Amino acid sequence: MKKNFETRHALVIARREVNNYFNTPVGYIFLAIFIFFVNILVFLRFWETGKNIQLLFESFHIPFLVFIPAVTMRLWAEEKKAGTTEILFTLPMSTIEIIVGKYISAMFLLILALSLTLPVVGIAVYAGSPDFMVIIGGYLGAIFMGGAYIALGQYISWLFAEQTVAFLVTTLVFFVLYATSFLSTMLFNVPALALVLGWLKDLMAFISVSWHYESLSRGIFDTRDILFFILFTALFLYLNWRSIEKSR
Amino acid sequence: MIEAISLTKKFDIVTAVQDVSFQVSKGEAVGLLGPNGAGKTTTMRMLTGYYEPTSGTVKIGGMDIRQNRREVQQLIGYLPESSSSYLDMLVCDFLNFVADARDLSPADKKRGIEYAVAAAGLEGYYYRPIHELSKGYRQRVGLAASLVHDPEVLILDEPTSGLDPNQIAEIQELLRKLASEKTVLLSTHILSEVEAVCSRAIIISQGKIVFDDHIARAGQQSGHVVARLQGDGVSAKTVANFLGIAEGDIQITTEEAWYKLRIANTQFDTVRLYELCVKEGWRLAELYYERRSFAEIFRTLTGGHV
Repeated sequence: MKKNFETRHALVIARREVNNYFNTPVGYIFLAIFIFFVNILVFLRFWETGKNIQLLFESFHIPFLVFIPAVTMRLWAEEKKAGTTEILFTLPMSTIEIIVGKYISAMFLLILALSLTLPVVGIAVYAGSPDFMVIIGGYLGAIFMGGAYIALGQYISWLFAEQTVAFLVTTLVFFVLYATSFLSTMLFNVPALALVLGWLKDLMAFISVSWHYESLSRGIFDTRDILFFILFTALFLYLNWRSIEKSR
Repeated sequence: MIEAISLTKKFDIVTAVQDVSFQVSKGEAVGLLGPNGAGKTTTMRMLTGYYEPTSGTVKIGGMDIRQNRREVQQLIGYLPESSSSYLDMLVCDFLNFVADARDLSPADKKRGIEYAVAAAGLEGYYYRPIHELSKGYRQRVGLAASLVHDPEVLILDEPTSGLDPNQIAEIQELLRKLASEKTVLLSTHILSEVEAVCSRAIIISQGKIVFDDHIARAGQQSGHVVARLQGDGVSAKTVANFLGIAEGDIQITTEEAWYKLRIANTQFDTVRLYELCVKEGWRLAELYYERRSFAEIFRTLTGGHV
């Protein structure tokens, strides 16, 4: 049985992709924008809410909707437009290794972005005594949620040869996934509707990425939420693999 | 070394390549010719594992690409037609990336990159961003990338397309050198390139092979004998009867006072034609085998749309 996946190959791809982000100002700009938004969202309400660290993790939602599509949009679209997939797919590597390599590169950027929010945690520790379970859960949740978004964004990037189109579509899809949890709460608030459409409300909450993140960011670890993110990620990496293999 | 076995590729309803079979032996340099859209690139993409054939398969070094795609890809150096490199990378970074992707050990990598840079004539460009290079040099970068693992088989898709005459000459010089060391399959629509680099040509038209032979032999395939003569009673019938061939094989035209006979059937001894002239008292000015240029053969076989 031949091995279809070697981490070494994925890392070769990932390194090229990461260098690609930082060869141009693009990577730095993305990170700066992310940090800027996160800080504004946190410090607008930080003092009035009693220096609550949970604000930090709640603040990730909106920046993620923009930051992650900006990172994933080029993963495939750029190669498809330039025709460089022909270089990639004629190297002795499996499609899975290439997909995972690209995924790792975006995850690296995400983790880098998240680590840049650590000063906020520092301030919270200095200003009070935050719940460390919330901090761990918040970051872990953000990595899982971001990872799920990245897998989806990477797949969408495969479907379009224009980065801008990939970006817009990804943002739109992310927004829908994010908003369904609020929409479902609104439905729930109308008792008559909740009675008839209770299953729809549950379904909407279930597919909503933000809903699964919510409890993690409060420091409540539920394996179902983690499992959701892992399955979500696996599903879109698989779809990515399948549509690449189909195109060959 | 390279075996294409009944390769067929269909895209939805379009059949790009149909039942293409050929072999390239070790050390041979073969040109794959054809008009644009004939299926050259599609064929090469199947040979290199970029496309999966709809039916048929490819064997390289005895290994079937359907079972051993990565092992086969390890043997091949491939230069895609367009975008043979990542423009946003430095030459050195790109070559290192390719070497790493091909699992070269640090020693092999160093040696391979040195060899590739020297072979492609890229000394002095090693630290340059690829997007700053001219088209000719970008092509050299692609070529260098296909050489870093010192492959046994080189597959080059239109290596000189879009280059100016000087660049073409330089790349062809390079290809001649490589052709003497490796098994080479290159596609092109520049006929002189095949004549300059390859010993054998395969012509593909509308997805099918229409010619596969040594170029040196190609010119003899015309199959016409031409005679220019003067005299009384020159007719196709007389000549045909004497030579024992069909009258329809002979085409007679007149040029000023001369008759020009163009004989399609070459299965006769030309000395007999001379003897006929002596017997009839005709004056024979010229007698020769008509050779067609490779370009003519190409035009005839590919339906004239060059």
